[in-house]
Amino acid sequence: MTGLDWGLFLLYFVLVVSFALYQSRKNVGVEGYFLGNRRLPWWAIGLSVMATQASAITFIGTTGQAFDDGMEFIQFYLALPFAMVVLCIVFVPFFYRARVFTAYEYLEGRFDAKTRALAGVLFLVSRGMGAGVILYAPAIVLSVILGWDERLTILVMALVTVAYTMVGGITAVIWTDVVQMLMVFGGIAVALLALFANLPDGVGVGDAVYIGGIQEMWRSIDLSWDPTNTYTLWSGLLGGFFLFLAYFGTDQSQVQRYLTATSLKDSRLSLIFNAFLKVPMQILILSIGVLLFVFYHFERPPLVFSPAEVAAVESSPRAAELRVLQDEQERVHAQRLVATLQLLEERHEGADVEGWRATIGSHDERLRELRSQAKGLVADVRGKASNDVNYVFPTYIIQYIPAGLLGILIAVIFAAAMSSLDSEITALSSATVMDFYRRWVRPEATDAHYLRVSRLATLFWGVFAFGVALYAGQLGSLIEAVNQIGSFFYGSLLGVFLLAFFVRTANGTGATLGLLAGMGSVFLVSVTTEVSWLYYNVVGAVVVVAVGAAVSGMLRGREREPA
Amino acid sequence: MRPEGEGVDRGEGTGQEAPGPERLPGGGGQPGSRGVWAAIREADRQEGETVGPFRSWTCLYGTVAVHGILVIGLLMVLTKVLDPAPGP
Repeated sequence: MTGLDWGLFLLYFVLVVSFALYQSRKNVGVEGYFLGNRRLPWWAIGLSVMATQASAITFIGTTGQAFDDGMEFIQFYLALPFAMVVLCIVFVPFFYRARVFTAYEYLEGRFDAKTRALAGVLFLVSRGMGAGVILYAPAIVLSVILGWDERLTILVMALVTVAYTMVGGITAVIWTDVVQMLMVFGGIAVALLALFANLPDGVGVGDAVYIGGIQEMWRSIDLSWDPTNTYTLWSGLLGGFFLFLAYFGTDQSQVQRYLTATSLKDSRLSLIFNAFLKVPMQILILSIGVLLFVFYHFERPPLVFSPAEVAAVESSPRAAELRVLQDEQERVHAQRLVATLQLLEERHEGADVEGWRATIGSHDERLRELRSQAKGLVADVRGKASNDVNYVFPTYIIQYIPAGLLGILIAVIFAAAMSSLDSEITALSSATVMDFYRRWVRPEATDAHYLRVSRLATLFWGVFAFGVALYAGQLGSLIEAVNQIGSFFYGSLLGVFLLAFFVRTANGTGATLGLLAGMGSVFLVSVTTEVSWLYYNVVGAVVVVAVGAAVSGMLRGREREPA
Repeated sequence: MRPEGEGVDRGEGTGQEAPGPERLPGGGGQPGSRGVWAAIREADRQEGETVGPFRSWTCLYGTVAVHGILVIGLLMVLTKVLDPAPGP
């Protein structure tokens, strides 16, 4: 990075924090802190909803995934517009009109305190650890790229994010998300333009798209019915539909956003905004990955992109194996380059290029095998799976993006991480204070007291996320376990809300037992079948509604029986 | 809590909210509640008839759904066009 890059990078931090604090100056009391006094515009909330969902790993991980596997990941998002419609029709009116601070507060009014507490605990445990992962995952990538100590990267992100979130509350979070999301859009445009600009002379956009197609990298839809495959149209539409209902409808980090709107109409519009923009945005992000795949037909890519993983193998007794793979990759890449240039030349002349297509296809296949073998070698040496996919895009921008733009793109990656982290810690803080502190510890304090406690809770969760991030490398299996528990409860929590909205006879005991049964069912499905995790949300929601309705019905029947 | 439209402050923000089913408009299952769909219809009515250039919420939701279907269709077409199977 040049001085210009560092300057732009620092300017980003100063501008974002100043803007956030300026926007939050009119906040009043705890409602201002957690809900922005319900006066934020729908388009800002809409951008914040997008920013919350799109973490840094979405930006750098999905481009890497598309580099390896093409566009098929897009199927995961295809149900989102339909889920948004259901959320607008059913969920948003209930939350908004109940004037609640948290999604779980609604459950106490509808059912009872134990259902609210159980849902709140599940959220705090899962999302508390999740906030650490949000901080840790991009930090390890950025520290390698920037040459910073991993702890310093985590500290910088955590410090800045906690500072503006603690002072400005949700208003600061939403307005920084707006800036950060606009930067992400700008970053996508810069990355795409740079990729096209970096193609060799004589190779146009059409050629790049054509080369991507040779290995079916644009293949976006898989119509197979395999329930063990996460990336099929049906997994995306059914599993994704339930996942997005659960995420946007029951996760406080999202619900809190649309509760800040001036009116019910604005709350709904913020989600509709996402329904239109999210999938096209993901298509563009994945396209960057496919175009990277094409770009590296003309430039030799590293066999393994992560410098840390390469260093680990090189310092191990198996270093020679990696060198053999790298040498073969160099040879096959050179052959593919010749074939690619030949194909384009003959294609421009209108000649038949099927032979060259087949040649390039076989070279692609071999290079894929070599990369897979290298990643297997990394996994053997390090004793854990390679996460090289996260280094593909950062490596490209470091090597090929010109000064100035590089600083902006690195800031974009920081922005994506911070915009998710700020939302998580403010949501965790609101659930801690509203669902537990105010409900169970100090129900009769002043607004100023709750505001102080809210700021302390924000600080606490920021420090907690920082602590988890610092030790995330050592906590690998624990974090995995927590994420697994998260996938168990997401669909089940959705089931509780569906029970609340649609089953008139449902009661608190039914909801609580249903929630436990739903989580148990998901656990059983996960250990006894190979079904994709996307379907866990369907299983959880259906079981909760069925068990909850049945238990509630039985209890109601008993109450009606004459003594 | 302040049920919308009633203008009654029941202690919002102080921890003094009155518990009970009446707090939640259209809360679905409580005896005497209006039920989920009635509450939603009422919410839509309160929000007015038009939404920007759209004649109604139904029209907007329909547009979103059509958008979702068109995206899927477009991706299927692109898959066929951009990833042509190699010739025999």
